[in-house]
Amino acid sequence: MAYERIHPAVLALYFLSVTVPAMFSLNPVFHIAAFAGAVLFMILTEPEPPKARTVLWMSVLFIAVVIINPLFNHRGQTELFFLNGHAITLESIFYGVRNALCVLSVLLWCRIFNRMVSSEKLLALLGKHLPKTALLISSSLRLIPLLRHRAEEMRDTQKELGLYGTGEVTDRLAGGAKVFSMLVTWSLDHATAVSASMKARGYGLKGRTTYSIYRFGRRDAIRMALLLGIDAAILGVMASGQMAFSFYPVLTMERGAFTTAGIVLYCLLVFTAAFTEGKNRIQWNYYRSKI
Amino acid sequence: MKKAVTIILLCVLIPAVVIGGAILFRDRFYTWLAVLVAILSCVPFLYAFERRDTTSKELMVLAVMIALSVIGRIVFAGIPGFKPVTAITIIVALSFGGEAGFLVGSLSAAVSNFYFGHGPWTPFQMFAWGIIGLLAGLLRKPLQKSRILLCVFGALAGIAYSLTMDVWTVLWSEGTFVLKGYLAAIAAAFPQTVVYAVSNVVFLLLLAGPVGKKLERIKKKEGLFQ
Repeated sequence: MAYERIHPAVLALYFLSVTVPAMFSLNPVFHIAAFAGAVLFMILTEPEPPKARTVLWMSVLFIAVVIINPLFNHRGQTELFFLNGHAITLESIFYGVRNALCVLSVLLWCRIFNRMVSSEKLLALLGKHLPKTALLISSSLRLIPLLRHRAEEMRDTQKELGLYGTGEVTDRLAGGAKVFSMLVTWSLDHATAVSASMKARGYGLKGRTTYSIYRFGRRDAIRMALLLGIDAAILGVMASGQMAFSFYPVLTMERGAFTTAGIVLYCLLVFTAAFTEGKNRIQWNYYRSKI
Repeated sequence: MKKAVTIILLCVLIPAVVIGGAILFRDRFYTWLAVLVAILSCVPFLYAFERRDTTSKELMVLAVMIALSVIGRIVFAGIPGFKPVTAITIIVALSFGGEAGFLVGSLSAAVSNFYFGHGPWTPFQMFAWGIIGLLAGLLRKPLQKSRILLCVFGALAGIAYSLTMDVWTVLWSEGTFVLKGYLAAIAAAFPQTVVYAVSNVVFLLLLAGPVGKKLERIKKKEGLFQ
């Protein structure tokens, strides 16, 4: 993927530039664009079609969020029918659809972000400003597989000794408790051993810096500047009220000289990820066809 | 220099972000505010932790406790809501104090979401679990004395955690804080709330004694968190 070579700060800013307007603006144009961009990106990058369970779960979430709003919100001019004496209005249903699109598109973008920015990249970002927190997070991320492995070894040892082997529920629970107890003792002592080793290597001495494999290069600076420019333009259009949208009493979309520009810029932003990915794929297929 | 940057950040940037958000996102201002509050309330604790002299031993012991609570969440992932994170956070806070409790609670949320998926809910979970740890640390004297009080605290922490996450659910899906919607969210999440409270009590009863003892031992042996 092309994202391996982009500095994580640029990726994080890109993620924020896409999700913040989609999360906090009422204008459905943002949500539709964000949703379409995410879906297109996923189609291009995911090797297999999504699992039926994921699709089902997302549809249930979508429908639930759509339904919630008209049930509690009776504003709006176009009354469709009455439920328990309260009007269910077309506008409130549209607002529910907007909420659902917002929730889903942000969810999808979070998935994309999780893939583009691995935990190492996130820690590299944090490392400069919160070095101790980053160290805590990265060492616990390392400890998780290590401790699970240790727990398995301990369980095997217990079994080999002929303990907790009957498979009954009480026996298994007692065995699990024993393993957990040993795991806590072992890992706490392991922690002090690791910290002694850290001290021997000079952790915490004055003048030590954190190492990061990600270099902020000239290309990253250009990308960052472009992103910031587009962000400023979009936020400017939003602040001027030309991207405002209201659902009640009737759907109204504000229009101004810069509305189209705002929409085009946001679409550009949202589809950049899918576009880069698509371009890479075409290139890849092209080069492969030449072999 | 670093201090000046921090002060400028706190005094200028935060109000600017809040006011800017108020202008930009007039209609969904409360969602914006809630996300910001959740993120910003974690920042002072993390900065205080960064500035303090923490020995590498303390760091590694905290990392181990975070790893253990994340493993617990992964092992019990099959039962929704049933997770030992809150209990382990409280136990750490009882032995090592409120700051350690905050760190273990909030970073358990951050780390476990690498497995369960990060999203806009991450800061809320960090905030909720962190505050539970902090409170447990502040109340450590009475909580250490009485097992019953500890269980009550665990149950209340489960309920409080659920109520905090319900605020988030409503704000995220509705955009504004509608009381009716909030009550509906609470009602919908009621079984989950019960599971939270019960699992906290169960894990506290099971773990507080043995794990607490081990933590006290390592604390005395290595002279941690004095």
